[in-house]
Amino acid sequence: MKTTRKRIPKNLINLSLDALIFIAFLVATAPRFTGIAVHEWLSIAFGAAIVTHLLLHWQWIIGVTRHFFGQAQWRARINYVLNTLFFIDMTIILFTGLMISEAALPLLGIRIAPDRTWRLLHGLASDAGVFILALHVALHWQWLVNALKRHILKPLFGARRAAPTLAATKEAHS
Amino acid sequence: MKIIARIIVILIAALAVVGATLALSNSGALNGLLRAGRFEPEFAFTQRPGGAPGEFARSQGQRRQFDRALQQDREAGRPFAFEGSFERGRFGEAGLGSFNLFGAFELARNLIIVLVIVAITVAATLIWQRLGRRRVKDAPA
Ligand code: HEM
Repeated sequence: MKTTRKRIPKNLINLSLDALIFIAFLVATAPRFTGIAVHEWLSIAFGAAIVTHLLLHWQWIIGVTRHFFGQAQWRARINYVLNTLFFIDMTIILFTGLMISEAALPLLGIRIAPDRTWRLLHGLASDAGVFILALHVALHWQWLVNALKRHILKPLFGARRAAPTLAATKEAHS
Repeated sequence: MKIIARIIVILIAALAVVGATLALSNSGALNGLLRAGRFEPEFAFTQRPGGAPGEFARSQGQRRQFDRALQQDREAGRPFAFEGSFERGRFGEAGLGSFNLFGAFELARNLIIVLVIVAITVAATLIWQRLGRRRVKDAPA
């Protein structure tokens, strides 16, 4: 017998990963909330999630890179510039975070002489990241609303709403 | 294989950013930039006794003690822990704090900042799009 495996829609994977990244970033911006050890390990995992996010959107990155000066739409161009800034900012946050690490790297036996510049840059880049993240979400608002409707709201509430309709149809038929 | 190649490309791009940051830092440009920014008072003045303009100058001895402590901490690879500096207490004695209520406030503040920016940007985009559509509609055929 042939078993048919249901494939998870790509948008649902994107939505779930993006939600995780969003929450992880916000939590990372408040190290006093989690304590420094959780802050560091969570942020390192966050780095891996960002790489996955980029891999999932690889076609878009390549497409806009090729056509940036050609037939790309203005919206895509703005998005591209913002995403590049976001990538640079994230890299700076993670790099400076590692340079001032008090828990993760020392645990691995790596100690780096503390440098105030990295500490300041870490905080500054993180503040900038909050703003860039907000703009990033805003520019994808329509996609986000559609994906939420389709993959979360409709399966949850659409089914409930559909149920009486189905019953009504059955009654009408009987 | 394709995925590994893509991961390598991403890591190379990240390394380029790290390289540029290190180059800026080594050239001293980064320090100047940060010092010129809003961090200067916290950075230099409140840390170094008698460092702030307009502040009563503290004794030379106190300054020397500060510099010695900083030097010792650097050499020992410890986070800087001069008594009275903001470094201690920031994340607790050892620097490794645990949950604290101020952190929850910080988290809520950042969430609100994000929500406000999203709301403003989405509203502005919608108004812009509506105006654009009206302009197209009103244009003489
Ligand atoms: C998404 C990534 C990250 C974000 C958004 C972030 C954000 C922050 C913020 C806002 C602070 C407080 C800065 C201040 O009060 O001036 C901080 C402190 C700190 N972060 Fe991160 N961070 C990230 C990644 C990392 C990583 C990967 C590490 C190390 C492995 C790290 C290590 C630290 C340390 C040691 C501090 C304490 C610095 C101090 O004493 O001022 N961070 N981080």
